[in-house]
Amino acid sequence: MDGIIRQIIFAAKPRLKEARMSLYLLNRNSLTRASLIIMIGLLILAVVAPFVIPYPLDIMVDTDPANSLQPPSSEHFFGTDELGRDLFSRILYGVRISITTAIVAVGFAVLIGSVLGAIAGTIGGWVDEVIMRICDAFLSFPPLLLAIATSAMLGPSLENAQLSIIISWWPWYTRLLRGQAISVKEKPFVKAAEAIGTKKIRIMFRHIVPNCISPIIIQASMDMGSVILTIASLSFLGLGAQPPIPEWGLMVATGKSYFMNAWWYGIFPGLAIFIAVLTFNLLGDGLREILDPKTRKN
Amino acid sequence: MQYYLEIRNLKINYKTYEGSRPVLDIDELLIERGKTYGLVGESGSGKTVLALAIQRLLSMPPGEIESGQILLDGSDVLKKSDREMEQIRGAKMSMIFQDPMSALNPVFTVGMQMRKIVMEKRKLKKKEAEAAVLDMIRTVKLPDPEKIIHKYPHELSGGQRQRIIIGMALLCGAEFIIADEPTRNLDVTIQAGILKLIHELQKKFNVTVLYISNNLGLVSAICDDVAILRNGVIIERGSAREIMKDPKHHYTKVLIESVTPSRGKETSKEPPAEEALKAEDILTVDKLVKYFPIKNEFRSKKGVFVKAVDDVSFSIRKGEILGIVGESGCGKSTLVNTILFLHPPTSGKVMFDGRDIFGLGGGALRSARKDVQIVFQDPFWSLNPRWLVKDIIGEPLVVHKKLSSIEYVETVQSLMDMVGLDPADVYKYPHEFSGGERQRIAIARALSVSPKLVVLDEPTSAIDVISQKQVLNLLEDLKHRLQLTYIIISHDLGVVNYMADKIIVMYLGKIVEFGSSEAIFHQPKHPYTVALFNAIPSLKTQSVEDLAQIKGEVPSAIEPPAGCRFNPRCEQCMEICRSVEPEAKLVDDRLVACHLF
Amino acid sequence: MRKYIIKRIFLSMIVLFMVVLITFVITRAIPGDPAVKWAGPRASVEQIEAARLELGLDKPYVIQFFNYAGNLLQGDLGYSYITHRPVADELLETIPATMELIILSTVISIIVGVALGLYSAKYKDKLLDHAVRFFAIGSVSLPSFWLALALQLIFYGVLGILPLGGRVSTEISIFYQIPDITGLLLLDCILTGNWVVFKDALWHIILPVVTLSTNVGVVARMTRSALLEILNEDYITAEKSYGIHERYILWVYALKNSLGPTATVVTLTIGYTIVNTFLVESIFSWPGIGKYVSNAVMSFDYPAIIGVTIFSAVVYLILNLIADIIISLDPRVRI
Repeated sequence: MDGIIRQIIFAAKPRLKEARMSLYLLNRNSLTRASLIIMIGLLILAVVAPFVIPYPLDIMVDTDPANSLQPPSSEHFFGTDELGRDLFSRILYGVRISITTAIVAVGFAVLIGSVLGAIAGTIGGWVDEVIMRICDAFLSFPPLLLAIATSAMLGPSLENAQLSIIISWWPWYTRLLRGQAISVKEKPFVKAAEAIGTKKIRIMFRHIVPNCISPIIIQASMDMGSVILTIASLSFLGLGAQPPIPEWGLMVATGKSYFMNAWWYGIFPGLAIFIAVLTFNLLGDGLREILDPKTRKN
Repeated sequence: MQYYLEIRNLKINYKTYEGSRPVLDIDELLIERGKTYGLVGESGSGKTVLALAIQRLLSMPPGEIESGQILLDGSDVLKKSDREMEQIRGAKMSMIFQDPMSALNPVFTVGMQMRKIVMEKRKLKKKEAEAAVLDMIRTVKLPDPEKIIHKYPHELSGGQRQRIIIGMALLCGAEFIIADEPTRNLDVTIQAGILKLIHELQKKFNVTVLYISNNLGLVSAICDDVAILRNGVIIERGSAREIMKDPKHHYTKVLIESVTPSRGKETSKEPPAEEALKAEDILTVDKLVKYFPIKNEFRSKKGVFVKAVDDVSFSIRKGEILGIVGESGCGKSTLVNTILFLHPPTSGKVMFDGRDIFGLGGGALRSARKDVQIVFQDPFWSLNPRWLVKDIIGEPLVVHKKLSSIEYVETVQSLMDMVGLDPADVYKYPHEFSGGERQRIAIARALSVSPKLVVLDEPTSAIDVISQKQVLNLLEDLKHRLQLTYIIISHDLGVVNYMADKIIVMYLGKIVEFGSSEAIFHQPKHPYTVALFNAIPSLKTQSVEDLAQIKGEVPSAIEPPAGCRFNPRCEQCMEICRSVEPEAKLVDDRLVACHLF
Repeated sequence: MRKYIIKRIFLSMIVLFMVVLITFVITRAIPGDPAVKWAGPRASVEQIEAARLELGLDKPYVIQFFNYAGNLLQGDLGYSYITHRPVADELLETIPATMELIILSTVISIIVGVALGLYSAKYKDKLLDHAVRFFAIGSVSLPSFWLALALQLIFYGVLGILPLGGRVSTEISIFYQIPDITGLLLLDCILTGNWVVFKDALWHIILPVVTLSTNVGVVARMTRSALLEILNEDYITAEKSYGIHERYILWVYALKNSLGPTATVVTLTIGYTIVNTFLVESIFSWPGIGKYVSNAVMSFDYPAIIGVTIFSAVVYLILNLIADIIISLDPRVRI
């Protein structure tokens, strides 16, 4: 028992040092630091949203037609929508929706894509060819188009939007991991493992994959921003979240109809999208500056 | 202005996230006009930083010059503006780069790049520039200048590219040339030609040369004065002759030792005759052939192969050390991969400990792997950077034995102790160790399941010279203690001579000479062996003239020459050599495959 | 070289086949019965059955696929559920308007983006570089539909200097002849010398083009990173050590090396822009493919949606092919 604890501590120490160094580097750029703080804020918000927003019932249940389309005031910071619901509350709750949907979508895309990519890269041969051709086919659609088409076919709902994102996004990760796997495969320590007699599966999961994770992490964090934007765009078109879900894109779409009279309805949800996406993109870019060997300043 | 280049009190730092790290601290470096000055240092000693700093090409965000003077022909380079530097570069000084492939722009023809230099620096019109370019190509001894100017860099061979680079440095009209390890990436037999060329052209164009290298033997052969750089500091300087004859600093002495191929082994020279007879063959390679089919996008081209290893036969006795010597492309890596059972031969047999290896089934083959292990050249990438040392060393144990976790750690720790590492470091990561220490980890890994044969692929090429000595001595010691047999591949003849009992010299997939290392080193017979040994600079080399050069380039392994494979480049080639492949004959204690015998 | 092009075209055909396959699978994944949708909300059972036969839905899937693919080859993209007109015709009508937007915004994005990228690479880590970086990430994070609305609000709602939407204002379209040669309105105006309409059309096109040009940032960043990679190469240091002018090194040497990545960037940009039109055109009442698609989505007009999908995918495929060919101009690729 004591040995295991000691092992964990010893294994964790250098990892912690790496993490501390990354944090330090992230913090150096004030923009990245700001986005790190905002992101943490957003994550916390996503968790505690139901408990902190001023008008919790306005999310799904309550409507107050008398108060319809009121401009921003001290009671309703962002004004109200056509059903009299408090926009501020709905937008804050939207953080939870957007982030959870995005995490699930990116998570599955990464999972599926990485497994396929690891297999393609490690095994090679015709398995590799087949997987890559399928990837090519999926990737030959302009970004977002496949998601739109799939969503349209499956029927508009937030879950289906999630599914279509997973379907359109996984090939990027497959390509990424496969490229890494191929370059790692050539490294001497993999040859050494072969010479030792290690089984191929063990080589794949314990040698190759751990060395391929870093670019995946960078890509996934950059993708968080894009996915949130995609979900919003799909909802804007009517393909994602359906009323009364307080999803930002949907709110902008509805707000469009009342735009000239109630500008706040279209503007504030869109602003929320912008801030959330910007935060994740800045963070992802900052991470890339640190971890990507090509842009590293040695 | 007695000196052409004067460097005084130069301190250069590198800014990292951990603070400023000093990289160069040169008290004084003085180069006389018209002389060749050698700067010797290992990787990381700061020599390339110096080369770039002199030209003010050092990237300044990470690099910063804290203080110092670099006087080029009297004026301080560090005080000049960027515009002035642009004028100076090329016109007064230029550089020859280490890697000719990366130093040429791949999307422009060689001719265009050379022409641009002439037009820019000498302000000539296109027609005249072209003539100057053709002339320079001839001067660097390349045939068919008209054809070459239309070629792209990747269409030329390594040696040709390097000659072009030399030509480009001279075309600028520079009077000072910095040569940054110009032969590092070339085959040893091509190297001699390039060195001779530099030497000749230096005299012809009357330039001062700063020659940077990691090889003291090379530098002492061609330079007038030498300085030794270690960790950014010059630890010894003087004329080349002085330093080689009477080195003062301990480090210099180690450097000199490492390039002396005539260290014999005093210790185990005389094995008792009885033991020698009793020792059986542990490895027998019989007519081994390994061809690789050439793939063409969708299918393999029929009948076209890379003939990597072609009909190789030899044997090793238990307890022997076999050295394999040859340049890149000779097939030694493929040979070794086959011996390691990594890919089956196209034909031929490999008998290990009496058993035909490739006749074994899956399970038996896997357990046979216990007996043959390998230590690679690259100490960085031969260990999984994300694994603890404990897991790295213990991997063979996990695969081949069933141990409890306590036994496992204890075994790993005793292995670390055996190779001279601190057993408490068992929970560290590879990057926390130095290059030499990482090689020890690799050795510990190789020994963990008590192998009988250990293959060492360039075990010391990538580590510093002090660690080299330690690692070689460790290997010697381990061999006796554990009764191991070694195969050592190295391009460093000093290493091979120091360690090996027998050696194989390979060329283009064939063995040209095989026998006791003492005999072969003392008197090489095969023309290729002779040329190879003479092309490598050593203590015996007094000047560039002594270096042997082999004409031509190494042919492709896809269509090797008919008859003796060495015939197109052999000085003593006869009619028969062109058509009939020579058999291996026993001559003076070794086998030679040459029609001369 | 020719062999390479033929090989790439061949590979593209395979990919095209898979694209068609994928879209076919998608069409058959529709929940609900296409025959019902075709026949309309008040159809009788016989009418629905007739619709089913007409649409060929009674045949096995494989036959359906071949019919589908065969039709595609002949340019038949099916018939809209709503208007019952051939989708192909409707597309042809709406393409020119979108083309105008795409061409203009792509040209602007490329020219400005590449220039910005070059300068941020040259002045790495200086103020310009940071500004470009922030601008790039910011512009990519902007939801295009939100930007459209915001711009409308500011320039029409508040400032009143730009029109709300459409290609030309209603007054102009009543009193003047709108030229229609290529379908690209601005070009047609220039060709016919119709300056009044030109000015009006120009005013109308400003906001949509600006909204769609947010890719400028991405182009700048990708140019910057491609250039930085190149500038770090040994041969650039070599050229500097020969004393060649830095301007020449940047604009001639380095730029030629970056042709490949730039072609890739352009292709990606056009791809993004095509999809952005779906989001943005309806806001500006721009009569292009985007508006067509967003209407189709609203009314569940599946053939229209699929038609646009296939069309866009094919265009994208062709663009990628061209980019591949440009990349292969790199002498190292000559095999």
